[in-house]
Amino acid sequence: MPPIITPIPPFQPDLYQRAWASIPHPSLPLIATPHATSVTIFSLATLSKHSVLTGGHARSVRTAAWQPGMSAGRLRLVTGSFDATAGLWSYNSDKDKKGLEKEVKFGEGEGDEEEEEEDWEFNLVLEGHENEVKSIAFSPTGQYLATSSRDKSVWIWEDVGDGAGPGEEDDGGEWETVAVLNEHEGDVKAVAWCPDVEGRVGMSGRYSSDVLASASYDNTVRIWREDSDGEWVCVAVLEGHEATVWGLQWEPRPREGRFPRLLTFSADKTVRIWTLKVEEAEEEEGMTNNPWGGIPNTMRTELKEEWECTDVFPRVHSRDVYSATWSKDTGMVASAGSDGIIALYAEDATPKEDVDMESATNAAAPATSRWKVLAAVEDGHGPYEINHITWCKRFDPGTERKGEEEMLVTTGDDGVVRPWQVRIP
Amino acid sequence: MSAILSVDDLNDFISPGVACIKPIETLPTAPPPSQDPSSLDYEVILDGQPSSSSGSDPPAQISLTDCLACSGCVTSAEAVLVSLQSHNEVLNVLDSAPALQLSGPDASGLYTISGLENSQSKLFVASVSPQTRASLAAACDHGITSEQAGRMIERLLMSKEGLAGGGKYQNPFTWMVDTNTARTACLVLGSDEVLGQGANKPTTPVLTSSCPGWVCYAEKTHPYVLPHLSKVKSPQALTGTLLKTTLSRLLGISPDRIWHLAIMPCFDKKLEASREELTDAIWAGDGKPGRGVRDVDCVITSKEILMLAASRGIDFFSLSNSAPPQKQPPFPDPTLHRFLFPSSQTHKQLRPAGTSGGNLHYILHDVQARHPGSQIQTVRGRNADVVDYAVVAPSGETIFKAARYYGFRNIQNLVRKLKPAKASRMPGGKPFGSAKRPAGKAATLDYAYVEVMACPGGCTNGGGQIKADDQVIIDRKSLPAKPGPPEQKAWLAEVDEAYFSADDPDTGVDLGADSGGNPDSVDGIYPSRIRDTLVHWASMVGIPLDRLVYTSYREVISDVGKSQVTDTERVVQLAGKIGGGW
Repeated sequence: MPPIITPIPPFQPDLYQRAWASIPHPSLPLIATPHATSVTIFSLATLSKHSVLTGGHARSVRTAAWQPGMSAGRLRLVTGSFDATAGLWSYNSDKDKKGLEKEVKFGEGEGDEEEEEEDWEFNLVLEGHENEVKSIAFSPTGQYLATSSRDKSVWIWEDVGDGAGPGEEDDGGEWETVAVLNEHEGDVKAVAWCPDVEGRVGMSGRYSSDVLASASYDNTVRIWREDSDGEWVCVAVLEGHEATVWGLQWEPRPREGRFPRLLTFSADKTVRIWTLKVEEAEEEEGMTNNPWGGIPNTMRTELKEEWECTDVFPRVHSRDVYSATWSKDTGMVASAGSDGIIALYAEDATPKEDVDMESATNAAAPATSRWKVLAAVEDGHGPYEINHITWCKRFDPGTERKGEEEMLVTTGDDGVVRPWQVRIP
Repeated sequence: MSAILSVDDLNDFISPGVACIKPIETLPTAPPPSQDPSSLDYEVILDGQPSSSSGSDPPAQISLTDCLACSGCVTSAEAVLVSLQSHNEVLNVLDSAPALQLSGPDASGLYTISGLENSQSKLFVASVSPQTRASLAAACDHGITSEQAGRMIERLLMSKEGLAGGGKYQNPFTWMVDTNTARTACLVLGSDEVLGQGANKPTTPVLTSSCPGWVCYAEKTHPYVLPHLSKVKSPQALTGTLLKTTLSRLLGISPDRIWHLAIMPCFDKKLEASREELTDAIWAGDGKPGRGVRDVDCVITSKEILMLAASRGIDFFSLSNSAPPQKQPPFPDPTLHRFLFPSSQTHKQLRPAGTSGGNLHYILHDVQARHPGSQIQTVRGRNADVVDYAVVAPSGETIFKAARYYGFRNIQNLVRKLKPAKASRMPGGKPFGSAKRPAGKAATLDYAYVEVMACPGGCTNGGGQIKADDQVIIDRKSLPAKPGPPEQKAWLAEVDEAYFSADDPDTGVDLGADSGGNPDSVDGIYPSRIRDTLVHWASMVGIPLDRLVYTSYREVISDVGKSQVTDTERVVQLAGKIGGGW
């Protein structure tokens, strides 16, 4: 049987510094990898370096996010650093640089790389956190930016500037703090916004449609929403993990009309899935106009949600799971971590209505888990820890379906960013 | 920031490798290494500990004053040190010695003090904030006003059915004042500061400084904001200075014989009370901040009043809310007596002024009074705690712009706009960030005055107030076991209602905009009378008025997080060189 996961030659060049993550651009064939105090952008078409962002941070850059919804030819990247700041960088490929007409053709990347220091401009610093910024994420439309830090808080920022018009230089925008959320009891390791999918709207009328989730050293995940007064409140606390929750991802393509599930992975070596419990009354009436779902107001004293852990993946990892990724196209999940193992999981197609809900929350009963392990690769980066794994569209010559076929990209302490071909026989 | 600090929030999270700034200052310089060849070649020195060769140093002593807003280990330090100003402290002090006795006044209005031979004996005075009274009034049965709650506190502190009925010495408090009275002076002084031309005027926009949470945060994290802070003392501080200076002068006792308790809506007021800028070193000494007799000896919060009563077996809510039979003795100076104990409530709390003293509101009305016919326009900002105000002349011209910024997230935005341009970190020194903004954009911050408070919703929502999730409220108001946001909002509305209530529930008269009436009064306050009273005070105690009513701020500089090449730093640098992720 041909192997499912096979290595593709790694991105060039080696970074020779610990690399922390690789973030694909939402649409263009680019991927951003923070390492030490810089970020290297690789081209997915050539699997080689496109540009570099340097000099803006004094300490390790651990996280990066592409701003969605930018106009053509403009790129904006936000970096989060251990120096307690987030940096905003912009790249304008239309810009005439000092008379030197530099053509950067996306998809070919054959441009001369010597002047990459000038490609990216460091526009703005977002200060406020007391110490290391651990994670940043943009809401689906790009309206909000969430940052989280070891100071146990999550901040939500909004760009209230006018934005750069066509032909104008991108100055980074004008950012304001919208909310400072202080309810975690430890370092907040990751934040993620629910993607704009059909089931997201959920309990409309009570809250706006943006939902933020955060994962923390305090072993919990918290869900945050904006209420009618414009206040961001914590509407749920997901307890169950037995150690630091390293990160989380929302279900990129939920089942018909259902609220997106949440994938979490932890230092307790497990990967879990959580589902929002929907009140039966709401389920029956579907999307009613009555925001209270038919239950009298006096009985709804708390604006809280209930989530439960509905799946615990079969145990593969022997150490912390640092990263996991959920594919929008195939629904497969891949995980990686400290033990260097890359694991691939798929879900059984049959929905779980009939299964007893109580046994589903029992973590020690994997027999009812609907997820199975398809493949596992050991020592993905040799003896080095794997810090990040992500699904990524292929644009390299090795694929016949450019922009459609998905591969995995892992990032490790060896400073190498490795793509992996995934083909299910 | 400890703005919403409550007893439940305290935990012992101390970042590893963090140094306390104080012991480093008190450590003597290390003696030269011994020449004895038999001494060890190597010695392992742990972070923050002196080496064994430095001999025995006395343990480093840290007081609350030192720990003020240092970000080192402030979480646990605050826990310990804030507890030193607690209801237990009050009881301990009351039980330490018999109180000084006041006899008189005689025909010429003079009092005599007896009991001075006991060096521990003190005269007890208290001041109560209106937010505390509102909090307790709301906790009582429905319909109790804050005036009535104030009388209950008076009974607790001064009458036989309260603390004076028990304890070792049955010590009562001699005087209890309302900080509202000092507040009227703060309002007038604050307005004069903004609208006047004084040489010592803070940089525009002038920011309110009566919130200690905000002041501590500014001193620690954003010192560039300090030149903007109003120099006028807060009502608590002004009351303290007033009581200590006048009573010590008029009764012929030293200020350390007066023990001043303040009852406030938040914990940060305890930090304010420990400031070296608010001691007699300023007004009796050389005028520089230093260790001295504090203007306010102890601050307890609204919640702690209930604990204080309970410790002595008194049920606060069963105290009568009518005026105590025994009136307070007249204050030794008639002018100040009229000031501290006005016969009628001249200045009603107005809703638009908010629940944090109403500095901004007063200034707006003062401006309006100086420009007859002008209007005040209000524009709400992105949330309920950000509001823009403008005083507009009949011609349409804007005379004065001001704003209110409550809450940490809004303070972030304000402080960011005030930040001066910073030198770039990029090689080549190209400016970025706020420096890159064209000069025109800075005009968005063209306020003359901004009222800044740390707690969203104002002081009635302070960290020391009684909250909806306190058991006593859950019991008394029959709330569900875990009150959610709607219950908390409803509770806060009740507290606000009590705050704005008049003494007589029937007179729901809304004073509204009365600036068209008496030209001498602004919002029911007569500034000229206030100024006269202040001048009288200064001359009576023989201290320049500046020293009495103004204060100063200083940047808190700590070693924590700064780039000095300590051993830890060097390890980090080395780790970085081999590819470690620091």
